[in-house]
Amino acid sequence: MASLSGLLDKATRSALARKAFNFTVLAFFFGFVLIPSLWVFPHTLTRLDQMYTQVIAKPEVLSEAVTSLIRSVEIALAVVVIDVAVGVPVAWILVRRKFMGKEFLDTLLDLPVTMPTSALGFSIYLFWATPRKLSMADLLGLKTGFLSEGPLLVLALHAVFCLPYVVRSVIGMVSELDPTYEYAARTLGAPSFTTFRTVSLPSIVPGIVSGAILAFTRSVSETGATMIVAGWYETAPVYIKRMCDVNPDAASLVTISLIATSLVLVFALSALSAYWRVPIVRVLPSLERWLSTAKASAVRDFVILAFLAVVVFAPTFYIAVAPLQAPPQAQAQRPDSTEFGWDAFAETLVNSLLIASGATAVGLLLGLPLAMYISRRLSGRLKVLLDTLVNVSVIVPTSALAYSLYLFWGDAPGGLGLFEKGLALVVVVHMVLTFPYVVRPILSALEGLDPVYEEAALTLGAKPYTVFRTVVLPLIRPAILAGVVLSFTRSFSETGATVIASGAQVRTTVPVLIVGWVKQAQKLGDQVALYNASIACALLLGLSYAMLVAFRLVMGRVK
Amino acid sequence: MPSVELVGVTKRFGRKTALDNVSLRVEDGEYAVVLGPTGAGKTTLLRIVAGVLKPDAGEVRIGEAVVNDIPPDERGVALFFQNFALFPHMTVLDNVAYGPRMRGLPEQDCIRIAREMLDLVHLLERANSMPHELSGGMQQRVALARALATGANLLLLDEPLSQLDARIGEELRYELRRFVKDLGLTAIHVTNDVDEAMAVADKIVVLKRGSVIQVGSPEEVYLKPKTPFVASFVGEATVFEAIVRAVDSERVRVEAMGVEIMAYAQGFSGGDLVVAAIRPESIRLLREAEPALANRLEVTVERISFIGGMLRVECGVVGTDLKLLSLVPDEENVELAEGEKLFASFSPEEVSIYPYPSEGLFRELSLE
Amino acid sequence: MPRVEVIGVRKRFGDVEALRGVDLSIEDGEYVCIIGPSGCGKTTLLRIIAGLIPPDEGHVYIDGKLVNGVPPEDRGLGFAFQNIALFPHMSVLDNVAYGLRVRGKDASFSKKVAREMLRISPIEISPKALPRELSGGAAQAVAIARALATGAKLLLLDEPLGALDARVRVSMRYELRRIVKDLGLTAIHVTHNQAEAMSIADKVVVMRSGRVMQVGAPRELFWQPQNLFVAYFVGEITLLEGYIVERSEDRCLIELREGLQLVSTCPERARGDHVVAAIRPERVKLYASEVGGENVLRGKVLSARVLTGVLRYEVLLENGETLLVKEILTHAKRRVLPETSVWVQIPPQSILLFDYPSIGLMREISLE
Repeated sequence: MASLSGLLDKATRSALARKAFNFTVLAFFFGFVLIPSLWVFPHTLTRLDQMYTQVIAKPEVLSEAVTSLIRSVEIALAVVVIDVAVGVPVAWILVRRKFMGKEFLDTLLDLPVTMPTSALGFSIYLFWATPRKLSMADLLGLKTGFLSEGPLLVLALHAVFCLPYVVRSVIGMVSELDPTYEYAARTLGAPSFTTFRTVSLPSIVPGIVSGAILAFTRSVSETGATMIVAGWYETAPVYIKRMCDVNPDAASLVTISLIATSLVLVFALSALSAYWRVPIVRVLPSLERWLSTAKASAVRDFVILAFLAVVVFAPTFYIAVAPLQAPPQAQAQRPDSTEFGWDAFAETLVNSLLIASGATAVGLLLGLPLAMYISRRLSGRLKVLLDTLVNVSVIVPTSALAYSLYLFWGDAPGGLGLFEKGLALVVVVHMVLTFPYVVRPILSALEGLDPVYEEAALTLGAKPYTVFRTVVLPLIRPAILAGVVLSFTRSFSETGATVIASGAQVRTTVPVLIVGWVKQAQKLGDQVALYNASIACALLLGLSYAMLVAFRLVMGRVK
Repeated sequence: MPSVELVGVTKRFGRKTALDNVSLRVEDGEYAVVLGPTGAGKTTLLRIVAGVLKPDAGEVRIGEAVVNDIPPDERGVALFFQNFALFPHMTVLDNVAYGPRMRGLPEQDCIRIAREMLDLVHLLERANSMPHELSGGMQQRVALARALATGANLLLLDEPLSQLDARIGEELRYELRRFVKDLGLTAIHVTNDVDEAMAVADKIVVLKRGSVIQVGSPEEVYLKPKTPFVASFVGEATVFEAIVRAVDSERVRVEAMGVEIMAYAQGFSGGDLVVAAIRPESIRLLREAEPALANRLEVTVERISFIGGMLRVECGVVGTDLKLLSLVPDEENVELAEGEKLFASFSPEEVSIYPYPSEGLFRELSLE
Repeated sequence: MPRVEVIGVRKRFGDVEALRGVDLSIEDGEYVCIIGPSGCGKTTLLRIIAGLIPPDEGHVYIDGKLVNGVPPEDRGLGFAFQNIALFPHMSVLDNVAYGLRVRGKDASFSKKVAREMLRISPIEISPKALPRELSGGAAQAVAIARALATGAKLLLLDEPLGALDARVRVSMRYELRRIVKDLGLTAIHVTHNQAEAMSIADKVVVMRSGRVMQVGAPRELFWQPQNLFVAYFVGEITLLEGYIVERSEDRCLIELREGLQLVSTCPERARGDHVVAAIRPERVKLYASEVGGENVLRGKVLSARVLTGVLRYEVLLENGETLLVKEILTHAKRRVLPETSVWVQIPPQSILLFDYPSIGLMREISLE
């Protein structure tokens, strides 16, 4: 180890070795992550004429494509509004209030992100949907369900799995608020509600914006679970999935539009939040004073927590209850396929775990040097540019990203033809989509790390690599771990991109398998598939929860 | 023991020039203090000597060798940080042993050196504590021990006392100087605190907006300030605009706001716009009957403040807007009262006269 | 104008007793400074007066009204913070107008008052500027204007100058007092900087470990401290251990280490008492040649430093202890160089006597 460190110390001193290393890291980022993710743009440019004949010239195709796009954006905007309205108070409660079971609630909040979205979607579907076998309505003996397949159900699903992004991001800002600003407002005569509205809220706007951006991009890219709950209401990623074999040019058009919409929205929002100052508007002293009373704030907290319980947690956990009902007797007509057995479940679960670990490992190995390079070697515009590009790869909706990667690596015209849709492409997709999740927390930890520690170590005689190993690495360990957890859970739960990269195959990762089982049951009324899917989803819920608890324990120890 | 020399060092950050053609020499075993307001470029200068920043132009020499291309870990310097920069994830002992370990010494030697250094700063019993468990003063001493454990004999101190309570800082500044002198180190210490600089320095370098304004012993800088800025920054002088009314071979008579003042100065001619500065302790406050010096002005005592065993007296010259600042010993038999009328008296040699600064007096005296 | 009364206030944070029964009474229009080392409870006390944290026990009265349980926004006070805490997302004017706006006053009225209030600043400040564009001194001036714009007559200041450069801090402290006096406010100012407190306060409160050690006017604290800690905390002082070996009607003879003897006035002490003699350096006279008189001791100059306005000597006495001497600095005065033999005279009435502390001298005066 000592000699390896020595070697690395020499290497970091050698300008040539350092250049070669930086080149490798940058080449990976650009050549493997960024360019393939956006390959759909050059791809389309070379096929403008086909695009015209196959899509633009056919009004029915065009209108279908545009409709799917509008639906996705509508849902995503509605999700942002709901999740910001709920997420900000939830985050505030979690940071500032003291109550029994706060830790538990805090853990539960991450569940919708950790759990495969298809399992979550199935649970939510059964909770709200019209009476059919295993559904909540059926269990309660109701004649009609709460929501039928369609836009409202899609909204109910998306609002749940996007909420944690908003909450986490706002919690980050709230816990870093300097309390003296609130003290200042209070001693200047503002009651607690007014203080929140006029001082705390404007300071957490950046957190709200970044949470909203994540929620938006997650919503517009979700495919698998949406396929389960959408019914006739086909959103853009579902459309891409259906079209990428039938009419690839239509799929490309929607993909491009999806990416462009997200980018425009994100840059518009960030620009706005940088210049926009939340106005005080008018203060209504008596009303706000009343809103600041202990009673009023208790009522507010209760309403928010009740909403969480009914709209988020009950539907998420319903899947644990569903399989408790009697197993079906009848065996509907079902193609005798290995895709529906428990060995397929076991195999895809192992695949999922392996892919998540592998993608995270690669991400860490290359992401850590990239973050170091951006934070410590670059400055000025170049740094801003690279930082933005890392963020771009988070913003690109995953289903669009998967399609783009397929165009780059796959057998589509102009592609490299290396992989067909299937497991290999799924692996590539996961490596790309998790990469920014590793880099971002590390990058922000490095930016927050006072460079004096490194300078101290340097003047104490440490060589650059030793400085990194003995000072930087231990100090950013929590961020590295956070990156690993984010990347792992993101890969494990990702359904949309995997569904697209899997093509016709179902036996790739476990969320894809669940989608296959549920679609099969929905299409053919296959009771056994439905029952098995509910058991599988319940298992995944348990597994996700166990993972969350384990991550928390490790994180707690590291901090 | 190394000397340090900067020759024409310039450093820019984007459009901002942090150091503009700075030249400066610190001798073997000298305790030099770089003094200036925030943004003067003090820390940049220190980091360039340490090698953690590279100058855009100019040379850095340590003991006659040009070190521009030598990385910080090979310069034999110890950098001491404002916030101490103790590694928060290591014990006190590991912090101090870090330097020797980086030099590849055998582990038992590293521990021995670390323990010796901790003993030197009287903190051996806290060897196994974590940095955050120590008080500010203790952290400061650990940081000093760590800096010196590398065997470096050039100590660079970046605002080493600014994070401490004022009274502790006052005690530790003398301890710091004693420490440096006992170990025979060369030290460059950066601060914005004049009192601290005067207390520890052999040589003071006054830096303002990236340029060296004056270099000299504390006595020289205090008693013979080279510019109005130095006069007002180093101690609270009365600084005001005046016009030269009469000149003879060695003296001038200047007028400010209708008040005439005699001063020793050469090289001015009648009608010149000048700046005059008077140190507060040069201005004596006398009662009617007491014998006065060449300058005698009737003043009203406006405000008396008590500073460190002395009285700081703000006075207004009767019938004008001219304000004078006087510092008198707080003797048991002296009783001054606000509103009282007295005579302010000072000798012509205590008045410094400067040419009017080209950028205007306000900008000249600005601390930012 | 408000009076503030604090009676029997206690506060505990987990295992730490921050305040152990504090009584304090502040009069109308008084400028009060609370000083003490870090962790003495001074900030906690200020926050309890402001209502930002509730006391565990005890009462706080403002203007004769019990305010326990009254939220900070209803106490009619202004608060300025060490980190200045201007709202970064609002302009200077909006910051100053904030207090009125949250009370429901309309925007144009609030801004008019804010514009008026900004005039208290000694520095010209653009009302449209954002906080990050201001220098430290200007930002604090805005923060104080903001605290006062609501018409508050009680101003609480928590280390208001702590974030500023040393030199700016000195100028700003006099401005602060001027603002408070001009507007007829009552001010409570918390600081760790004893020099700052002594120079601007009408009354200084010295705290240590959650208790009030002494309350008094600055000169009273400096020249007549009631205990060793206050004596040491408010300014440099020489502390010499000794025993009373003889006493007459109004004098006593103290034997120091190695048999060195001092005469002192000494009320309420008996022969054999173990004491600490405390001597302010400003009261000691230093001579280059032998002089006659009481308490003339021989010594050797260890160090002679030129400070701002002061010469500070460390003199080694014949018994191996060090005596501090301070003299006012002038051009005429020649500095006695180190290693020179000198004679020092300590007037008997200027020696303060304290019982030797049972916990030992070092722990008694420890600042941590």
